[in-house]
Amino acid sequence: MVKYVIKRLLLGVLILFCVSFIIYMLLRMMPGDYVTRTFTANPNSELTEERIAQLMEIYGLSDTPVVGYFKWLFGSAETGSHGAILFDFGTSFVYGDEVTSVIADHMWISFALTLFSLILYFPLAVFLGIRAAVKQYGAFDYATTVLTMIGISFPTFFFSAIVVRVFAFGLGWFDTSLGLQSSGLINPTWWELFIDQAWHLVLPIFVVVVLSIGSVMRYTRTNMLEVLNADYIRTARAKGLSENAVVYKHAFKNTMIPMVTVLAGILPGLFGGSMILEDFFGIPGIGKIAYDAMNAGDIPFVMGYNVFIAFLTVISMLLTDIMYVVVDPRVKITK
Amino acid sequence: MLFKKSNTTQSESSDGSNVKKPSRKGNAHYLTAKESREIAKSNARAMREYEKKKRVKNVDESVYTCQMQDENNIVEFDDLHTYFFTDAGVSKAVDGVTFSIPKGATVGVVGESGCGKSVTSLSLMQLVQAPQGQIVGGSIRFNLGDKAYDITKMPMSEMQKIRGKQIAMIFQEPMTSLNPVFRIGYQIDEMILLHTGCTKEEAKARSIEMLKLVGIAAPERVYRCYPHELSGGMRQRVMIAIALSCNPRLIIADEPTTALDVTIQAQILDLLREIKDKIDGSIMLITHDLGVIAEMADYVVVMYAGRVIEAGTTEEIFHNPLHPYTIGLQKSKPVVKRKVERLYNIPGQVPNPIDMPDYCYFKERCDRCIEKCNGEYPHFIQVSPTHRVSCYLYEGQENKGGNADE
Repeated sequence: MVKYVIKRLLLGVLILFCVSFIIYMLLRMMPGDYVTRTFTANPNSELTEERIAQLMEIYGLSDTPVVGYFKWLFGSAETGSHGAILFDFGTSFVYGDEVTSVIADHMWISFALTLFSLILYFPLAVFLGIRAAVKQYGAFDYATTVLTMIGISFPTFFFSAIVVRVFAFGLGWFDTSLGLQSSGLINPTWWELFIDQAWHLVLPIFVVVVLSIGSVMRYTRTNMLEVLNADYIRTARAKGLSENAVVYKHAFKNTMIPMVTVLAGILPGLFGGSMILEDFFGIPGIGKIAYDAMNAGDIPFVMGYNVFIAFLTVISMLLTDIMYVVVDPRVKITK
Repeated sequence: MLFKKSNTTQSESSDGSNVKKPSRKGNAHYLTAKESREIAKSNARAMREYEKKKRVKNVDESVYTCQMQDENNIVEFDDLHTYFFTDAGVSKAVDGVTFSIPKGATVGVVGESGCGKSVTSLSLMQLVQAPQGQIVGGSIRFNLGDKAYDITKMPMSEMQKIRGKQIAMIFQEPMTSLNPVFRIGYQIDEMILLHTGCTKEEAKARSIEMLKLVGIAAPERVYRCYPHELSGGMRQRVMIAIALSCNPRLIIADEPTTALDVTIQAQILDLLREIKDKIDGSIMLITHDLGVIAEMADYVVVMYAGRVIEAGTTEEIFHNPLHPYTIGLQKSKPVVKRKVERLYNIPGQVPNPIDMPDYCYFKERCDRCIEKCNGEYPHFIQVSPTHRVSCYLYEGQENKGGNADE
């Protein structure tokens, strides 16, 4: 088991190298770099060719992509960076601060948003999925299927727009301005501030819940249907167990086996934020920060952010495999 | 459809069911979109109705209390109809089955695959796959000693008290019939705790005792095992241990040895027989292996296409088979010391139980047809007090002496 985990972690390091290389190449291939967008896009700019070349040099954009990648990875004397290999991801062009501290500053608001949504939608989706499977082809099944399918089909920005139109502009229950804080608050106590911020998070959380509930619910329903047709469920009924014991004990534990993979797959998203949603609601989470950085061509930040996501993905994959051992007695890790 | 179809496919059933089926034109071998829609519609209507009937709460005991015809029987199937509402039409999986299981006896139910053996037993447990499968008519009387219940009318909550405690079932696939995520011990304890109300320690002691009884060498170790750690034979023993843990009055063994190899088969059958005597219960043994029947059963019921075609004591069925189908079955079984070039096989296939015509279902495959066989489905002819057959060949040979089985 320990050997297996070590092996997987070493493999993960290799994966991270490959991922970071590909992302770096893609970033450099993007039309327009940070200097062009920031300084020369302005038609009135009077920068000389010389000055531009100098700026390119400063931002490390004059190297070829491959050289640039290795400078990012191992650091270079010119920038004084130690390189990503020593967890020094450099300084963000846009935010002018260490990439790691920018991520750490904005991660938690995204984490709170996603975690609360997860706590709300995951159990609800599992419960709805089970009920729909038990009442297959019944009115409840059709109703939940249609509603959750609508949820899956909505693009984030579209549903967010509808929600804001109805609840903020229409009914006036929520603040219509962007951001996490009402403009009208003067010298708020921490409690008022907390309530105000929580109130601003209600709509984004609602959007996430509605959009995410469908896939988990469908997945649970499919698994549950398969399990409910299994022979051991018939055995459980033949024992004289009540329908609730059959469904919520015998079937549920078997349904949870594939569900664990879904849960582990959510981990990267938990810290990674949601670009479109945070941008729409003006929440200063990591998703919005990364979105702005991407638009500006902020290579150090985008690299740091994506390696962070890739790292979380590798860890969650490993967690998935370990969780399988925990929930399914038939699975053993031997190698 | 596997056979020619007449235009009169419907409404001959004397079962009193209210299933309406769209009539079809000509010898259509496929369903048109319109027919398909009509079937779906009538199915939905029928299923809704039966499901609604099942959901009625607080059913009074008098509704499902009934009188046994013979107090010495543990179960009496009386004109049982179990239908499946499929997309191709109503499949009459069990269509008027009548037989009884005497106390302390072993009744073997034989027939080809798909003849309704398993559905009959599942009807007895109310375990027919709902909502497609429904008991639409007839009754199943179950003798509880001081009173008798009609299982077809029992509400689910009451049925759960009978399942496992009074009637236990052993399924044909030991490999998949145990829940893979619970330990063996838990799965046996669960049954005992549910029906006896003893403490956990007592349940564990009883479980280990049961595992010992079914011939498992290291019961304490197996108690802690997961199902995947045991072989097929061991799992079937565990299934039997679960089934017997509450001393049921009737054990339904649905092809208990089909999935096992021959040496284990013999052991399992010995075990069943031994235990039956020990707990003084009855066995309903479902199989298509005539050898197993000859060895185990006191009475034999031969089923074909959802109906009983011949029933009698094992002696009668094996030494004096009457129905051409039973005779065919006997001939198709290899016999030691008899040399044949090729084993006999009954020509043709079991007809699809959708839209059965009203004549003997075996007519197309029978080599002894007579003129009368084109008429309506033959009624039972009682040739001895215990032996009855549904075939026109034996008309006039009735033994009016006794009517023990009917």
